[in-house]
Amino acid sequence: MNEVISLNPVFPFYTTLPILLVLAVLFIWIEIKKNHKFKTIRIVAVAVMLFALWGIISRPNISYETSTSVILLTRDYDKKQVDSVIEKLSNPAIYHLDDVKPYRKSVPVKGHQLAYIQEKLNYVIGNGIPLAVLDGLDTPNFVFISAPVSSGITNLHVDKPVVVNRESTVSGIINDPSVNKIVLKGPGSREDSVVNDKGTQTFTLSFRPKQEGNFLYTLSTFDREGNLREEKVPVTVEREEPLKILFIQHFPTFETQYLKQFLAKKNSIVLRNQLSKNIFRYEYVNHTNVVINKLTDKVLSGFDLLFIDTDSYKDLAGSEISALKQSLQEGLGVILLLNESPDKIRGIKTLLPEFAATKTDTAIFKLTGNKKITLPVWPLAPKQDDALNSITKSGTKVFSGYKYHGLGRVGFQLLQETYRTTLEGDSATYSLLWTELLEKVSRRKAKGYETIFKTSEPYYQDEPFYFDVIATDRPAILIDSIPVPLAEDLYIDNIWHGKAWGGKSGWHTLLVTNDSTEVPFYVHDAGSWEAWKSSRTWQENKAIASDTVEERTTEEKKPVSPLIFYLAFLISAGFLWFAPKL
Amino acid sequence: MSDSKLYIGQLKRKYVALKGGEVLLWSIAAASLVYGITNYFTDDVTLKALLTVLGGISVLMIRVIQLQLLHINDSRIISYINNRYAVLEESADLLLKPNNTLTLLQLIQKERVSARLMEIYPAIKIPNRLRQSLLLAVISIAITFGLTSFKLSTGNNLATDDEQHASKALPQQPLPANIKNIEIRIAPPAYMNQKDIVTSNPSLEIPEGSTVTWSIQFNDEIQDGWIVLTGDSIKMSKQKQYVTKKSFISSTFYQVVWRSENELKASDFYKIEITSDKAPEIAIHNLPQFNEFEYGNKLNLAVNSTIVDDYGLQNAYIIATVSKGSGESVKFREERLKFTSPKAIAGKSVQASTVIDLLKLGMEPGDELYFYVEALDNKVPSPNRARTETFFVLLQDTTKEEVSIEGGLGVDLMPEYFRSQRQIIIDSEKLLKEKRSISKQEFNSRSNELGYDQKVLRLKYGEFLGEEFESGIGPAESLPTEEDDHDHEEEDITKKYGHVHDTENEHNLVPEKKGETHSHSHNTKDGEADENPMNAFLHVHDDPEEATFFSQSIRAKLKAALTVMWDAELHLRLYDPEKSLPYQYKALKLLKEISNDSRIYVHKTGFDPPPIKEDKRLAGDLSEIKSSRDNKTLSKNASYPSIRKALVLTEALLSTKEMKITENDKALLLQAGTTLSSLALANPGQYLRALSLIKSINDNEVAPEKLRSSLQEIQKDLWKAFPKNTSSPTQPAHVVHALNQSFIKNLEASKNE
Repeated sequence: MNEVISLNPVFPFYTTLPILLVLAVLFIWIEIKKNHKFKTIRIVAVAVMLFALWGIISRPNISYETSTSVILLTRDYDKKQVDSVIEKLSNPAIYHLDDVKPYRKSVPVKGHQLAYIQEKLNYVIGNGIPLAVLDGLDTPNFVFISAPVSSGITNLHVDKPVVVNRESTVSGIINDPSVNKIVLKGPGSREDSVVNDKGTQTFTLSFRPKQEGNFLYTLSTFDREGNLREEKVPVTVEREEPLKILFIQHFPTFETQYLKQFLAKKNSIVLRNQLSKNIFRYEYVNHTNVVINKLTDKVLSGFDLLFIDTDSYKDLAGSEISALKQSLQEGLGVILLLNESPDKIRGIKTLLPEFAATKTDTAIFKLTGNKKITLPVWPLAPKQDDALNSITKSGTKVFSGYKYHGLGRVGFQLLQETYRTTLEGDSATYSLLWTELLEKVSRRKAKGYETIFKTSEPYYQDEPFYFDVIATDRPAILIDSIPVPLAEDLYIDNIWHGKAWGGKSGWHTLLVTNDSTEVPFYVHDAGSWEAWKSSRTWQENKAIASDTVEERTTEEKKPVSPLIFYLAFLISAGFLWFAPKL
Repeated sequence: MSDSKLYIGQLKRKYVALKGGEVLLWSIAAASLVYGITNYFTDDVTLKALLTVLGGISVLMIRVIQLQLLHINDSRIISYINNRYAVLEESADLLLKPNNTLTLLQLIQKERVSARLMEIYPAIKIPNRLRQSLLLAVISIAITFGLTSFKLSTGNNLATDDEQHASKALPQQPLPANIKNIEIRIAPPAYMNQKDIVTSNPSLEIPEGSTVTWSIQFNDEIQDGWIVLTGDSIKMSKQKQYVTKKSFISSTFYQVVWRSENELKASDFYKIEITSDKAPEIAIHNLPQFNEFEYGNKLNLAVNSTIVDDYGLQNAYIIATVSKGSGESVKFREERLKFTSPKAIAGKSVQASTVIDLLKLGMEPGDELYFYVEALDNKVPSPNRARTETFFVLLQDTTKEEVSIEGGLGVDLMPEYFRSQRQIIIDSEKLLKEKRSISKQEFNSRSNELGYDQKVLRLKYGEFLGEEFESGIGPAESLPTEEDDHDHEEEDITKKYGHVHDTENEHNLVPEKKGETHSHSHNTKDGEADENPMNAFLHVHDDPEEATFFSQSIRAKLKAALTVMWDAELHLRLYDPEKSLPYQYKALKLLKEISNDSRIYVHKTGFDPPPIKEDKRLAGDLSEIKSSRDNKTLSKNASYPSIRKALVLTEALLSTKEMKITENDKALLLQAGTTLSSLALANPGQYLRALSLIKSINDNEVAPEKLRSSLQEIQKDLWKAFPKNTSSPTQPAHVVHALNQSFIKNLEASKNE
């Protein structure tokens, strides 16, 4: 605290000072002339009197800097932390949010009032400013001194999307040693459970929905005394989208016949075998009859996945190959079935990764669990390549994988006679060998409008959330049939930003009116998911907060009391009057 | 002086210890007896413990008082030894008296007696019955043990066990308010020999064929009452209570419906679950499925089987089929054999045994016996039957084995393509001999090559197995005569070109007998044809039963051979021919057996293509080949649409705060209920709660505060009703949108630059 003295003179300084100096010289000279006692004291008294007079006229002030910092106390703040911050600051103002217990003489403040003191806000102690309030501050700049993470489930993630009849998972972090067991219940019954033996740990629970739609699953936690706490987990189950698959082969094989059977339940398939040069045998499963004499862009655009054997590939005309490559660029998935080593086939090298010959023609590997799977395999191994994405592999040996070509992918399966696993009754292994490859390789669904929620769950009533829409033209968004304004991104084309507020608790729908895409979301009850909510608040505050903030001060002036000068004047003048009489 | 007092004291303590032990044993005996007896009559643990302790303590007290164990003093001991030992001259009491009270004479006498007591002290015996008491205790503990184990088999308690079991298995369901009392008597069918069960729980689990009698007492006067079953309802007659009865053979559920004040009312649904009378279980312990006998051994086959049934057995026997001859001339004869012990099959569990004398069955070398045990229980009207798997007995034909060759399998027809099992064995042995002289690399490579040969051989035999599966025995039967000719030809070719290794008679040490055997078989065939004119037109193989027997044994052997070959190959591939050799020998043995068993069989499975006309061959004429199309629709609509709709509805209702069920919602729930009720029939006891609740909601009988929990329960059952569907690949969930499309395009462009 630097103190500076400043003056607030009644008359201008330059006028009073010469007069006072003249008076001082005059009075001192008079006193020297007088032949009385106490000469020295009288001279001092004259000096004091004139100084007092100067003080009365020029009214001196002492000015100093004071702190104007504000400390905001939020939920779960620690008193010790407040004490140490106060010690550091000179006389800070302490506020507490109105749902937090006060600290000594702290002043209660409502969320919306924070905007008034935001510029002075220096320290936020505790769990942080709630999101709804934080959203209302323009330029928050504060140091966040956080409370320890609250106990309970502090994070939760549900797979997106959840597809009917597929195993999906709910994963999260629990930070509560008193919780013994976490159970996920579906609409029907218990789906999965996990024991919490570490206190703080990540957990994963799996479930397999049987019906599409919006469902509320329940996550129950049991503490060691057996008390139950339940929270809702909103799950949107999407339906399975069938694939359109085209098989082009020179001759039918067991492998493709079994693949056809495997895929036929849910997808539509066209299978073409060549009987003679221009004579084909067609099989259609869940598909209308079409004749495919030639591969063209138009034909291929009707399919998501093409299985083609290398013999047929070799026989493709130049125009067909270029149509195939064009379709690949546009997103078609192709799986090449090998009839011979691909090294010998011209033009195929660019599609597949480079292969090196290996010695073994038998693959012994494990997929899940301890069951060993033995299958014949092409004596080839793809060379290490950044563009190669492996799917089935054992150690460093890759048996199946794919490579990107534009938006499309070309996959390969080196394992042969995989249908053996089905014949042995192990259809689960067969499914594992093919499902991922097929799904990774096939054409992705093109969507004109994609909505991405920027604010992570959970959403609450009267709390804002932000979302982006990726669209080629201006999207129109309705949330529960109320239009939401969007702002286009300043730098990136095709991205629009939006902000909305959680309505009443329950399911709500975000509707993109351009193509009627519906995105459901769930607004939770106010008291639910406390720990998750506070951990999210904590994260948001942490993200905004600065490491250090300069202490905010203002200069303040304090006049020196004129009484001192009056008294000094009176005493010194009195003494001068009284001295000759002594 | 004091010594003698000490002795007396010791004697006293010994007396107390012995008598005390005796009394203790008595009380243990009594306590255990009391426990045994009370345990027989009651299951109450506290009562048993109380009575046991009481019994033990009372006997202890009585005996202690009787023997005055608490009041034993020295004088009693003194009087005892005075009486018992004359040498003490009745003066032992002097020992206890202080010297100053005694006269001189008494002192002298005391001195003498004291000395004598010291002399006789080791010989003094205290009378006791410790041994008898110990015996008593042991006997009573044994009795108690017997009583407790006997308790389990008392019929009395079994019934209570059953009732307990029933009450445990079925939670008591609440009755509607209008029904005051319900009494249900379940009478199992007579043959089960079980007591009637009376219960008040309307959910029933009853033995198959039981008759159920309902006696229902209503709170108010009612006009009519029915028991409504699925698709049927029976009216209750009014006696003291409303009574009706019916017998059940399949699981179902029911409702009590009554009319009071001209209004129809119904109870919840209750299940009737049928526990069916199971078929008997038969096990044969002492026999493997395949048995081989050498002719000349003791040809007796002991069959010991355990037959168990839940309610009782009626009969059991062995069905034995003897197959004689081989190839085309095979003959079958079936016999029913009775068990020798016990004479008559009855009861719930029977250890039945008999000895099959193969000679008595008329078996000769080379013949085979197939048999199985069949048992019938006492169910009426038609008993449950059960049978074991078929057991095979082969009487080895050693003479035939000597002359057999592998040629019959058709495998040796092409010796240049692959090596025979014998050749692989010879090569393996050779390789092992040379192991030291050759490099490791060469050893490994040769072992691997042998492994490859083994694989080729296995695949070749595997084809036989495969063909056998696909084409069966049928097609080849149409050309029996041609095949016979073929048979001759092939054998000739083998002899001419094949080098026969795999026979015992490899170096022609014994003259070949094949021709003889063959002609012999022809003879018998002719002979039989004479005997029975039908034989000319009959193919014995046509009988599916017999065909199965025949193919099964060979198929099993062929499979076994392939498995062994796998192992042999494995060890060869692992560069370990030594370990592989035992498997190779085993494979060889099995192959020989197969070739002996089934020469005809193998030839019959061979494919004879129809002759192709020479002028059509390789003409390149494709005019008759046309493009063809095959169209199938395999995708199914989602199962149980009404349940799916109802499930979405319940979820939507449950997620709202204030539920309002409209008439449309009710209709949807009712539709789902209809589907659910058909499922409930298939799975008795399930979904009943949901059905009752749907009905209640439809009738507006559910209180608003209970609506949420009711809907939750309905939803639970609806969800349960879905079958678990497997997943198959579908379109990936990720999407392509404008932004990542242009991103990838630009990426590709930059890659090409």
